[in-house]
Amino acid sequence: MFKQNVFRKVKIDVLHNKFSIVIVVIFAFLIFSGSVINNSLRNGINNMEKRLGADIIIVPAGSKENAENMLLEGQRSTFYFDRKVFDTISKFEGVSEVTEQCFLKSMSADCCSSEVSIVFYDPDKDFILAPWIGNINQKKDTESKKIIVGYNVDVSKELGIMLFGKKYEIAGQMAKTGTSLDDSVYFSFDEMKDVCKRAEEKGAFLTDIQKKENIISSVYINIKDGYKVTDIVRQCHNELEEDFDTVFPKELTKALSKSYINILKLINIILFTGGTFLMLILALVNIISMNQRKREIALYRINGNSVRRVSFRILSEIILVNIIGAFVGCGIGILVIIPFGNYIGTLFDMPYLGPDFIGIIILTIKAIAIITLLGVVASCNPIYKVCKIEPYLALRKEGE
Amino acid sequence: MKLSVQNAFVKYKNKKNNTLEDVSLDFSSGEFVAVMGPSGSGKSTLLACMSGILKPHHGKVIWNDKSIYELKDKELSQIHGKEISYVSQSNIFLKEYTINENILLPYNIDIRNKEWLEKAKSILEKFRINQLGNNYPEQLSGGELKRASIARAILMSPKVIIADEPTTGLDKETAGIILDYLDKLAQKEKIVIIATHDENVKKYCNNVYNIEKGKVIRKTYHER
Repeated sequence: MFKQNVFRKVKIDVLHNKFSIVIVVIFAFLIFSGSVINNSLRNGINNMEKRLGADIIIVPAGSKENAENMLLEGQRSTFYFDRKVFDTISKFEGVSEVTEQCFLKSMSADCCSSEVSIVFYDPDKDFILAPWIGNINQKKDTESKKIIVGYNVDVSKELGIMLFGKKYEIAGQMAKTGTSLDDSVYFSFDEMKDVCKRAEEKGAFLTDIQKKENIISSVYINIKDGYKVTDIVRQCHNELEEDFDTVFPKELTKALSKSYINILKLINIILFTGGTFLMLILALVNIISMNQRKREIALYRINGNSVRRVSFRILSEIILVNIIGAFVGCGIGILVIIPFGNYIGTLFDMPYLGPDFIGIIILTIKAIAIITLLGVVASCNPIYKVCKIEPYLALRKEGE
Repeated sequence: MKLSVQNAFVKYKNKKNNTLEDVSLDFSSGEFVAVMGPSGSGKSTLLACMSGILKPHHGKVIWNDKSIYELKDKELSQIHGKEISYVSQSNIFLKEYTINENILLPYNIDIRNKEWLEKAKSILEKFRINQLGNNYPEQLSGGELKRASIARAILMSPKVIIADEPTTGLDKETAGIILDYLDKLAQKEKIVIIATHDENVKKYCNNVYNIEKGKVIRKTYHER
């Protein structure tokens, strides 16, 4: 009965409550959007840290900026040096893991409406892709000519994928990275010659260097415990025959983390200021609303309702109004913020990985919980004060 | 059943003098009492004190050997409406609800509860407004609303009915309907206390208390 009355009252009084609902909607939108942006930037950075996956990356001289862009934004560039670089580094003291990759180029393929990036890697030594593809036996699968595809590549694991006139089976599909890595296709180095030949047959233009068999684009190095980055770099300088540049992924993420913290501060300031302002308005609205409802509250009390019961009843109405407003605010947030995630990432110049469906649900529930809690905090005092007024005074003050 | 006011003092913040000053009264079952006096004499305040909705600054209100203002809020709330019922001078209704709902909802009774709805209808019928149960308050006249107010106050069959100026502003016929009903309640061993300016009420009452400047200046016994 109590619940029915509360629902009924809120339904009937929706016009009375509309101002509160508008404030709650704005508040919920702010909290939800702030949480989504914060969450997406944090995911973007975490994701990038995982993607970097190496202590040092060695790239051809003059390719540092391109390599950094590739790491940060996933923009594919083509730069090459000889495989000897990898062979030499593999023998360095202090190297715990080393693997190489080669970016052929982005080109249109039978499978996809947009261009895909063709990347070659070594399944035996890889530790860069592994975190993204779960528990597959890369070696076994790539030996059997299976390939790994990015998140956006439209494939069915059962049906495989048609690329440059040949059907390939899918060993695994990478999780979403939020970058153009999502549009990449990863072949084993064993397939390099065949893929290049087929690509050319399909009209792709390959430069002379791209037609060479012993080219690679980058070497990823993880260092053994007890060794320093400088130990490896020194050995590179001493022993590599080709000029090279070094990229230190962790330095990149440090800079990004700093930017992220600054953005987070900004978001928190906006949320705190806006939230405090809206809370004050909400508290004021509640005070006014409670004063307008003095007679109603007195009516309940003179008919046998205790202060506690009336307070709980009014509070339940406010909670319901807050939940409705929070739902609407989050709904608007989903419609406005989620589709423009990539644009927001570009705007902040940061990696941005929007939440998945479950993430959206969790953020929505969190936002609703926060709004409801703040709504209760903003209304407890006015409710209690008005409910405590002696019923006769509540009636009398209204001009009796 | 006995209701007593003992040495009650009430002073409002914005007034120099006490609104009630050392008022002591006793009421027993079957009494129909009128409290009379000019405007501002303290009638409404006295009724509010007796109803348990305004705590006097000094003094006590005793209902069946219990000092009601010393009870916990929950215990006092169980007296309101069920043992002592109060009818305000103004008609307090929730404009979004029908009259039937306005009668039942304050007691947290569902309008779909047939038993209670029938009881509400039967009371409204006694006041000759049963056809208005599904109307909204703004569709009713002042007299009809007053009758609905009293109907709400007696829904739970309280032992004491305290009504503040229940006939003020009403035509003779409507006032008669209300007073006749209150009289029947008094005959059923209820205590009925009303504040009024209406001299015609005297004929229904056992006792009339005249009050001036917060003090009871006269008590008159009437043959009914």
